Parts: sequence; structure tokens; C-alpha cells
Amino acid sequence: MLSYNYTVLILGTTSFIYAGTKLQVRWMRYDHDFPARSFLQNYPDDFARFLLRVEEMGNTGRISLPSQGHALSGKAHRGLYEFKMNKTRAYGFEHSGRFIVVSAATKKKKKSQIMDHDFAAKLRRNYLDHIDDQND
Amino acid sequence: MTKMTKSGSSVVRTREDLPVGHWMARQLPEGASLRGYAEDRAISVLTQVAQEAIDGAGISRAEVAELLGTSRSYVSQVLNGSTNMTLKTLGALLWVAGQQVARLETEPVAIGQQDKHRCARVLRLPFTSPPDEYQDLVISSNVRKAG
Repeated sequence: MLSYNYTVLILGTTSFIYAGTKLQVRWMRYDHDFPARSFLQNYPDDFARFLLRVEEMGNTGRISLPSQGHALSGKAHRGLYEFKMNKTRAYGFEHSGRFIVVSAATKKKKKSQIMDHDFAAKLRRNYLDHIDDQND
Repeated sequence: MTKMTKSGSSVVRTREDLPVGHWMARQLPEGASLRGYAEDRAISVLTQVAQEAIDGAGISRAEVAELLGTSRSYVSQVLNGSTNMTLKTLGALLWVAGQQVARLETEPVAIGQQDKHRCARVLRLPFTSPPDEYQDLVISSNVRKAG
């Protein structure tokens, strides 16, 4: 009988979701957790809808229907993408052939949504700073 | 375990019906239904069919609205996928482009040709892979004979 020993070294801050033909989609790790995944697990129906968007983003690099997802506008949130499900929203961004899903939140009115966008933008900045530090 | 219908064919409705190693099965929580996935995919695919037909005919949204006797904003809502269009509306949009539905093809939920190949590849692996979050972090694997 064969047994296997894996030598595991944590090098990155993301976890694999889906390898599309265009982008690899991954969860971002933050504070010892994958905040988007943990949040969406409370909404199984939306989680399945989310995975449809993941698949499309991975294979085409975009979401074809604006009602299912779109890039955020405005200087503060430029570069962020919003996946729109029935009750929830998920946020991510593209970087070096990867699409990183950073956070998720419940669907809210426009004004209240800005906090969720800001949080996603903060996580994106953290990630990019971390990558830059590694490259220095 | 995949459910079987009376006729003996398999149906994929929940996470548990997906093949072992399927990328969605690794993500979804236990017992999650794939209904939302199938619903949104239908909206996405059928809306794109209408959009491509209209684009192919070189017709603007304003012209579509005029031909259908409706507002431009309604046409935009339908083509953005934010309004749940009826089959009648789909037929009307295709009519505007001089087209009609020829055939609607289906496949098992969440299992395209690419996924079938991937699942088969995972199933052939003789050992259990490390958890997903460590897949790209494994820098070496040592194989040894036990006992």
C-alpha cells in the first residue's frame, strides 16, 4: 500500500476555485479566512449562481449580462468587479491572469452598498501591496 | 450519488449529484441546489442569443423598441437580463432580427464537455489530493512504500 507525505508551504494568499480558459479564479485569504466563501456558504442558492459567474469570468474574462455582474465605476472602486446574485453581491478583481474574489455581502440599496465597495477596494489594495512587497 | 429517473437516466440537481472531483462540488455547501445556476444560465444564454441576432442584423435598441411598440428602456432591461423576459418576447426580439428559434439544446446541469474531461482526469488519480487551498502550495510530494 502506498502512502504519501506532502510538504506544504504557504506561499500565497489565495485558494483555487476554477481554472477557466482565460483566467484562473481564486478566493482571497484574509485574516485566516476566505471571507467571500464563508459568507456565500450561508446562501447556498446564491452560491450556485455565483459559480455560474465564476465560470463565465474564467472562460471569457467578463460577465456578458450587466444584470449578473459588471465592473464598478468611480475612481475609488476602479478595477473592482461586482457579481450580482439574487440576495447577495460578491466582489473581485483581475490581476496577472487571475481573478481574485475578495468579499461578499447582502444586496443593499445604492447608498448602503458603498461601504461594501470600499471594503472590497481595501482588500484589493492590501493584496496588491502584499504582492508588490514580495516583488521588491 | 447521482439520482436516476424511472427511465434509468441520471439527473443532476444538487451538489451531491455532481461527479466526484467536479470543481463546483468542491465549492458548494452540502445539499446545495443547482437550480439557481440553471435558471441564471438560461437567462444568460437566451438573452445572448437575442442580443447576437439583433447585433447581427445591425439594428439599434431604439429601432427594436419602435418595431415592438415598446420603450427603449424596456428593451435595454430585457437585453441586460434585468427583466425576466417571456418566451413571447424572445420570439419577438428574434423576429425583429428576422430570425426564429431553430432548436434549443440541453446538457446535464454544470457538466459541459470540458468538465466531463476534468472530472474523468480527477477520478483517475490513485490518491487523495491535498485540500483545495493547498493545491498550488505543494512544493514536493514524497512517495514511499508503507510498512
